[in-house]
Amino acid sequence: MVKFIIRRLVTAAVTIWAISVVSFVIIQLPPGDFLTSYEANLRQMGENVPEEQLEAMRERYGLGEPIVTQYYKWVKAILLHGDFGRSMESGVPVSVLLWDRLPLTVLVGLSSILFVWVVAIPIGVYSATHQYSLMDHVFTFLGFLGLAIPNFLLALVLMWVAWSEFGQSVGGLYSPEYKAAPWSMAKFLDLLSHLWIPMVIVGTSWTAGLIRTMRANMLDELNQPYVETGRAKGLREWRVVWKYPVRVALNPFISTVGYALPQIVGGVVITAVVLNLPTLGPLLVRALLAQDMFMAGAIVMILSVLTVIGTLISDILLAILDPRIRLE
Amino acid sequence: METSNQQGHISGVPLGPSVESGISRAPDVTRIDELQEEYDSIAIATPRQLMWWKFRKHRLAVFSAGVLVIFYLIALFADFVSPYDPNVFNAKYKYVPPQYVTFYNAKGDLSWRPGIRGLIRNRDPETLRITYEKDKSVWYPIKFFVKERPYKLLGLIETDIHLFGLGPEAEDFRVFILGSDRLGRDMFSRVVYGARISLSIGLVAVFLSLTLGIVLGGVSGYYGGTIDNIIQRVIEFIRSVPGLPLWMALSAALPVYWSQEQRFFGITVILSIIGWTDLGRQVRGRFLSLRTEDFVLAAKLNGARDLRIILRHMVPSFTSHIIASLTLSIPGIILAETGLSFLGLGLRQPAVSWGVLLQEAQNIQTVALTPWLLLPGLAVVITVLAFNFLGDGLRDAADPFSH
Amino acid sequence: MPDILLEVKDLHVNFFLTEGTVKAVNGVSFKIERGKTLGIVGESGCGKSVMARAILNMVRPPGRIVSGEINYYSQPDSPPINIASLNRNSAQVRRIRWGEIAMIFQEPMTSLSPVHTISNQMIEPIQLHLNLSKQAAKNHAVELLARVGLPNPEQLLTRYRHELSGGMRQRVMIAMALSCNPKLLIADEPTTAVDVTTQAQILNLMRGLQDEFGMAIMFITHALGVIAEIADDVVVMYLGEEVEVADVDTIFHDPSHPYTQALLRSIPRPDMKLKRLETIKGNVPDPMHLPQGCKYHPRCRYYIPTRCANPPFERVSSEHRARCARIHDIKEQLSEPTS
Repeated sequence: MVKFIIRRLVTAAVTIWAISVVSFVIIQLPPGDFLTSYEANLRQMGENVPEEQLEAMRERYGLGEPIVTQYYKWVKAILLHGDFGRSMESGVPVSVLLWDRLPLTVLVGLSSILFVWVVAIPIGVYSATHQYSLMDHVFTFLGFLGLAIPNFLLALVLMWVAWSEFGQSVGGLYSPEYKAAPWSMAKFLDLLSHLWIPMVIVGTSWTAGLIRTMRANMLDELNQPYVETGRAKGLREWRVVWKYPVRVALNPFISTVGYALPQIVGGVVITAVVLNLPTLGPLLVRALLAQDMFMAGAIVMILSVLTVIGTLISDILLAILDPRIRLE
Repeated sequence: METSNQQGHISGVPLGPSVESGISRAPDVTRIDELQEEYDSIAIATPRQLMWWKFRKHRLAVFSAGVLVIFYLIALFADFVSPYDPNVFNAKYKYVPPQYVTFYNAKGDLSWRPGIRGLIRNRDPETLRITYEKDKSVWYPIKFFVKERPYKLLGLIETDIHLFGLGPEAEDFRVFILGSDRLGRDMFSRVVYGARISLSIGLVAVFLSLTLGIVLGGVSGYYGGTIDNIIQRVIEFIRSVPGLPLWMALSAALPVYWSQEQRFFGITVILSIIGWTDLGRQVRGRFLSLRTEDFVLAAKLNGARDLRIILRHMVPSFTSHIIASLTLSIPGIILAETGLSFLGLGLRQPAVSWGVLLQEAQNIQTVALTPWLLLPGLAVVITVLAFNFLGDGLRDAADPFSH
Repeated sequence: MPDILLEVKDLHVNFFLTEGTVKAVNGVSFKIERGKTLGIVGESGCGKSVMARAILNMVRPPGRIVSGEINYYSQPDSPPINIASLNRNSAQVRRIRWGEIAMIFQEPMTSLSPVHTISNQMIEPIQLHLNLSKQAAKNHAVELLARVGLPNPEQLLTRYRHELSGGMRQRVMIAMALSCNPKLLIADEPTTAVDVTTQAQILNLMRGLQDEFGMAIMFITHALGVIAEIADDVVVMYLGEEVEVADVDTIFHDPSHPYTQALLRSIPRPDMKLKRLETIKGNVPDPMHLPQGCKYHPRCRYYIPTRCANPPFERVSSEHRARCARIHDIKEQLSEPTS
């Protein structure tokens, strides 16, 4: 078990290193030296940039030096000082903007996964135990539909329905009166009342696929003799189903969730743009459109690292749950 | 009845080994014969025939295939199908809602041809928004095969015939069966033209992914060892990071001065760079299991080159599986393109794709007031559904020997 | 007057599939006496496993008990409970399962859950049927595991199925089956998946346990040799029907049905001269298209079209019956010297 965790931790570390390289490449991708465009930007706004300051920045980012040195300086600043560089668009340090939005991004992501679990498992179990029933067909069809509707389209339609049917504005994560308010119970409840919409939207497309996975896993398990043993023991049917095949079918399901995580994070990004959530997604889009690459690279990196950590946790969870893996 | 038995069964002999008949005793000989014929035809059928039979049983998959064929034909003949140029502005008809087609003409009589009502423009005195009202006193018949703007059919034949339109009698009035956008462009024509990019990007990107997948997956599975290890790690890496932010960042890094075609190609390459991993894994798995098969060994012993073994002997043996997985990976690419373009990071105006069209519907006000701008989304949903159903059917059919 | 524990009367179990109806159990009747062992023999697909599940009312859709009675006499003088007439999810059936009639399956590997400890799975029925505390149930489990000859029972309880050998798993299953003192133990091919040495040990164990616990056993198998070792009475099944019912001596020394005879000719016997073993020609027919008339006729060497249309379940002697129209002809034929 310890060996397994260590092995997974090493893999994760290597992956995170690779992510940092890719993020750095993204920062370097646009043609030209970003400082030049930064300077031009400021001049356009009528500000004069002192030469010393430019020189300091050149030194700080290692511009003009070999690319490896630049990468080294970039990583070192992040690791030692949590310094991701400066947003070229707003001039604010990237880390300030990141930390501001990170908690809510994690919250939306986690709640979406929770939603996927809570919905996909019972429906998958129902569909498998009631194979070819009317509801099984209905769920299968809804599943296909969920896969086919782009997240943002669902977001738009839901917003439209909420707006036209209930006259409710559903963007954001807080009502206007709580936006700047300090944390309180009321603000938390307000957050929850807004959170369900992105949760449902992001969740829908993935529940579809995971219902199918769960259903297929369950169908494999339901005819296993150990289920019959449970039944022969005189247990109630629901107890037989939930204690034995569900428990076994959950294992491949958890690893599927691990694989779905990257896509869920992507789904959160695009949905957040439509719903105008104070998460990293809209920030990334704005940064990319403005070619503010330090910002964009940092966000891509943070999102990827979060995903890797999420997958790591789900793998370890799986190992704890499944004695067969644990003993390897 | 008895004589139908080839073993020459002699009835009446009570005992002994000569009575070992049996099969001829079945009561309904004609039915058995039919069954036998069916068995025979199954026995001699080629795998391809078996797959076709099995595929045909999936009615939803066959129907989806039909829908997709129609969509691709529409994309191919977009100039002919669309009544107007998708990029021509018309200041007089901004945000016209979809027009109802009616068979009652201006006098209220039933007509043999469909038509549309005229429009009365009003301006809301408070919001200053333009609204439209049906003008029941006017009725424009919809004409088929009308002469309109000239174009080259399939880039070859010069013609000016379009599937439908109002013809010269309607003067500058227009038919908007799916409404018009903020510049008065015909949504139907735009959706039809958008199909060209949206439907082809899936195919092109999947083709690129396939090439990458077969080459890298094949190399990985065929040679094994260190190469396999490296390629596997790369695949794992790509799969463990969220695709969309990466797609977004890479597309944003495409040079701004690139032409529409270059951009299209750039986006396609980006989508396939991240999308090949699934196919790569599958190809690798197949190669691993095929590597030890006798026919591969035989080819090797005959001195065939590696590339020849891969392309001539191994790839054909799992083509059907690959086709099914290809079909199932097209939806993801279509959805990715739509998402990127919607965010303004994919294709850009004046290119017309379904994602670009949906960009017009980014804020809730637009959606609430002009919901028909979401219709390109419906086209996306139908296409993706159809590809998923088709892929499901193909996947089942790809295993002709199961069941 | 024999002391009857279980009486199956004209049981029919059908599977309703889209391709057609399969009559898996087609009018079977037999009795099991208290404390005795009934062997049920037949090729795979003859409906013996389905019948075992029907006795616990565990046949699941698309299968269903269509008609017939399964009368269970809990005490010698108590009124019978017709298990077939009960709802398959009712509390009454659930009390009988494992509490009165326990079952062990062919695959000891897959009969145990891969992700639960032995302890978890053993304690479950003990607590459910005997109302013991968790600790008492655990002690009971330890006793049972020791009784079936498993070393270190306390430690064994914490193990998972993949950590045990095939023989150990089947012993665990037997211990589990006996945990609630059942009056009937249904053993569905319990020795098929284990090697021959283990098979002998398991059979010995079961016999010993039967003497000790006094339960009746319904032993399902396709191996006649096993039947000879353990059964008191035998039911031979073919395509969902019983073709011959008799006590074990009669079945082995004076079989009446051509199928039983053919089965016996297909096993090696020390009292016979060394010669090539016979096989029964043909295969078990497609269950969807059963032969008309006598179900065995396509494979029968004594078949005559005019006579075998509808074979009766004929009484050979008081407790010996066979489903064949030509029992007496065959007897004469056999007594003549063969060429």
